Amino acid sequence: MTRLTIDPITRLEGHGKIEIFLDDKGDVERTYFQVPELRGFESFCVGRPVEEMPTLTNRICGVCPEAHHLAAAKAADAVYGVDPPRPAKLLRELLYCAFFVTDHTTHFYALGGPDVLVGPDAPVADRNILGVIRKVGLEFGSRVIETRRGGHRVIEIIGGRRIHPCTSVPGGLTKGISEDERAEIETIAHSMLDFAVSSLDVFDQVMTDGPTRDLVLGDLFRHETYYSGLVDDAGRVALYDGRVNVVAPDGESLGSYAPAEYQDWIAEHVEPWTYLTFPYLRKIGWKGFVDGKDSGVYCVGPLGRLNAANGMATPRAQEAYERYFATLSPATNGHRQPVHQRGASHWARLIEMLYAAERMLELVADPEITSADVRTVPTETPTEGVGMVEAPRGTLTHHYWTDERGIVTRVNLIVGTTNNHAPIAMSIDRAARGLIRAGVVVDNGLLNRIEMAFRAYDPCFGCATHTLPGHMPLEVTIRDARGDTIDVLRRDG
Amino acid sequence: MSSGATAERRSTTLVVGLGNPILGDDGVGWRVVDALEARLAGDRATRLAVGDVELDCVAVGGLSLMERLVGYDRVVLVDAVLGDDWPGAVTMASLAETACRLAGHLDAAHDVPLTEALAVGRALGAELPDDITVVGVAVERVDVFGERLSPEVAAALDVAVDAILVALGRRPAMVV
Repeated sequence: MTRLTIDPITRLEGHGKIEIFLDDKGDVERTYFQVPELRGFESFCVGRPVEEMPTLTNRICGVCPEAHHLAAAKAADAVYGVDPPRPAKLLRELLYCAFFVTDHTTHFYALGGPDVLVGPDAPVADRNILGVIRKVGLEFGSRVIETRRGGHRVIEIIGGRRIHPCTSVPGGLTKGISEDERAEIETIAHSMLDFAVSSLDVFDQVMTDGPTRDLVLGDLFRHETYYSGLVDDAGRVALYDGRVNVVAPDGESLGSYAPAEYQDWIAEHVEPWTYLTFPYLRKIGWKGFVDGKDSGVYCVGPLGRLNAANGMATPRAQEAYERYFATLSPATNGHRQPVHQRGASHWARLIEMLYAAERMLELVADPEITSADVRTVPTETPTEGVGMVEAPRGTLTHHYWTDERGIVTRVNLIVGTTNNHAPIAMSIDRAARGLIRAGVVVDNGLLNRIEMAFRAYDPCFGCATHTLPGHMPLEVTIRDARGDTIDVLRRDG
Repeated sequence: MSSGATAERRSTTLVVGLGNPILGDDGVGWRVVDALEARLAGDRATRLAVGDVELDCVAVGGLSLMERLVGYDRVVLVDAVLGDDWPGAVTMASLAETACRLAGHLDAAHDVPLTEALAVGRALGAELPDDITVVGVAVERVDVFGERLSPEVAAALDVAVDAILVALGRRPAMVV
């Protein structure tokens, strides 16, 4: 058997590794995906006051501290059985929407997006943010940085610090915002909205390019799975709070659940070749890495959220949402079908960026946003609680158990990317089988297409496995049946 | 991003500890900067010789780190280094000489490499330092959560502070 190793996957946090085993004929027999693990986070938390969790968990890694901060704060709210006042919820959501715009901007322009923006066939050296800037122009490039700066500023105003917010505590926030600060956020939100609209225009332009269109719409990266994401009372995409809605591959609803019920819905499958766990829908069961309605594999993140919802809660995002479905998945038999092409995640991400910016404008216009009533002081005896938000990469669940003093006795986290482990493994396998066949020369371009299957998920293993962050050279080792190296392909990250 | 504006500039020199402060030896950069702060606070001669220096610690890299460096003439980054050196070995080099050797913070989680980020910043007109020195402390593992440094790495803090002072042009009275 021949073995190909892509090690590690570039432009991804974490030290990932794809191994592709070929059979004697040179066809793909099986693919494996591995990342190394950081250890001891749960035991690191045990014995600490639950109030510390929002500032502690946002240190898990530097990628989405805002998501961990708020999931932890919501779990701590639940541990104390306390419902924060409305202004506190509005402010948390406002911070969170600013974070979403910032994070999605970074992914689209610097990480996964270059595959789409510069084109999948462009040289590796051009498929990065510098190549993107050459393509979209310096002025637009400046707006990317400006958008990030605005997002960090909003996070600093509401969260007390850039990058690692610290103001959310059980029952709400430690401080509100002033009218001046509100006005500053409003200005930033307007600029973010313009930027999101422009980003969708840029996307439309690159979609006229054949290879890019194939990458987004092609069957190479298509899987029919379940989809899951938080929705509001009207069934629309929600980022900060809601119920989890689950839809089947044919678009039918499987039902919805409250965050605290997640263990009734989600189970985790274990494979002997990795310590990664593969969450699946308990009701459906684990049938392997396979598509279809009988397989409990589900997908989260932008693609999953748009599929699991029935629309967007803001007008311009709703328009974009309708156009997305009309283009990718015209309704059949009177009801909408999910979008199964994983490459469409890039488009879905931009629609969410637009939604988050529009939602910011709604939130800053709320008369209560500058209220000083931002905390309900907990009075109940702490016990156990679940906090859930939609992280950019998918549903993020924090579950804490405490003693009667509020000291943490047990912790369970299911992070965004973890939900997608099975779909990611399936997409890598599909891409490998579609591209590598007996007699086909395996080169960097081909291997990069396999990586693109992976990058579309915007995977982050910084906390999924507690992986060492890093950006390292790509190394592909091709081995013969005895495991001896017959060729090595290498490029710098 | 400011370009050319100097009105609001504070210090011209920035020292940044990199890493995750709750990931054992990965957070050594933070601890070195803490030790530097203590040294400067307790040693007036050194403080005067070094001049106006701003200290910070961050758990980010790539674009976020680049954005933090805007407006400074000179930057010293302090980070954990994974490699063949014995734990606690202190190294000092320019950024260009250091690529890919660190624990990963120059090449950030979910971000672009710092060198690429700097190129982006410069292309967009940001005022970024040409003089970037990296002080590295060799570590063996950065994969276990905890707030304590290993004894070998903890023993290197003073040497790393000396190295920063050398980088800042103030040779300490006693170099180990």
